[in-house]
Amino acid sequence: MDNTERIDRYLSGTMDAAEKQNFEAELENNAQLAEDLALQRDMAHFLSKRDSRSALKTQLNTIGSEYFLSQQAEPGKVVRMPLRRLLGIVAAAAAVVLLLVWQFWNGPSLYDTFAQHPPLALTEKSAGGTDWSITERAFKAQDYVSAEKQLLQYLELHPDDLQARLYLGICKMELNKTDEAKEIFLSFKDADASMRDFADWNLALNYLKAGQTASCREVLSRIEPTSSYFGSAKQLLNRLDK
Amino acid sequence: MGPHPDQQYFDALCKGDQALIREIYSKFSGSIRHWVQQNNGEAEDAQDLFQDALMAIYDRYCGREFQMTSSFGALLTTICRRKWYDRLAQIKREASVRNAEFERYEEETPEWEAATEALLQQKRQECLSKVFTMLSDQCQKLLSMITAGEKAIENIAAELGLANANAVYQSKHRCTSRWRQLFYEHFNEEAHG
Repeated sequence: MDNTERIDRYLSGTMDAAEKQNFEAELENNAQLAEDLALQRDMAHFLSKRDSRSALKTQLNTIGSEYFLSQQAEPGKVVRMPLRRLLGIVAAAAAVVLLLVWQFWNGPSLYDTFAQHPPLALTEKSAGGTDWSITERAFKAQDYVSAEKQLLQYLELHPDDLQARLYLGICKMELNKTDEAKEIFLSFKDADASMRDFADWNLALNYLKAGQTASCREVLSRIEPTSSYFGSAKQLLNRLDK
Repeated sequence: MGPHPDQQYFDALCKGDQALIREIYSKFSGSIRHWVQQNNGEAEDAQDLFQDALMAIYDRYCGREFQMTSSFGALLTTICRRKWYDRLAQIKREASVRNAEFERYEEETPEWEAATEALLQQKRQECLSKVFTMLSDQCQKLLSMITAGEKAIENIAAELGLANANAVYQSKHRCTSRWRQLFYEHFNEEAHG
């Protein structure tokens, strides 16, 4: 028996006292009902937290790069050593410092810092026996040439798949086909809020990549507080202002 | 008695408090990075792990009632280590993990139990997310709109081409049932796969 409707009424507090008492008594003896109730609670949690979860992920991505990838190795213990060896190490250290300075000046660009794309998930929409996980893996491995090619094939079969189209735009952006990417991202202006927000964020990144900073700022400043990308947009704007 | 000082870190994750999240990284990232590097990992692995563990804490604690049973740092470290052991085991490098270190864990510690709950909740939320995308666009829109609570049911009905509020509720139950069915199929598959 499908308990969805009853659980819904229980969770929304619309059961009368007698029905609620019966329901709770049934929960004691019906493991499946208890499991369904727990799941329906988790579903509600997922729906209510989806946007903030996604925003947090983006935020952690950005902060994490600063702390993990920019940190140097921890200093070791200081020990006394012969002068010749010390001089050798000083020379090596100088070379390391030079390398670090070089890395600093040639470090990740602002675009690379902010362009942390969430993984592509197409497999579950597969049809006709095609294994689209290859496309997902290509995207994850940043093999955008293969991912673009496969997404074009995918979109021939699923022309209405907005998410796939958006990821095609990301591939094009990564491959420096910024004009084509821009067209794709702009086509989302009438899409659902979550897709439009994702497209706008990528449109801003696309402008950043193309060196069109003013347009990038303009798109970023339009991103609303309700968007999952609001925090990231503010951070990027701050970095652009520095 | 006031709240535990670590409560601020749980709250920071829930609210996306930039300054306190930076403090979390500043305070705990060094030890996790060092530990991962001691166990066949790179800084990039540590970054992924750390972020993933913070998301597990988010999934378990944000928007839910909970009793704090362990410090934030102990919980974060335990989740990171367990995730790393799992990852190494998956890529068949379990032999390289220091067994002695592993044995030091006591499964009865409060942080072990809290980590178990967080890891389970994260798996459930990720599975729910994955199978949600397998619902029809109509179902995804309908469930999202109802949860957002920004529009009257009649307006949702009109926007989705449904006859009336009753049709919206019927669709909601159908979509929820389908979503649940997909969850059970995939979650069980992943658990045994």
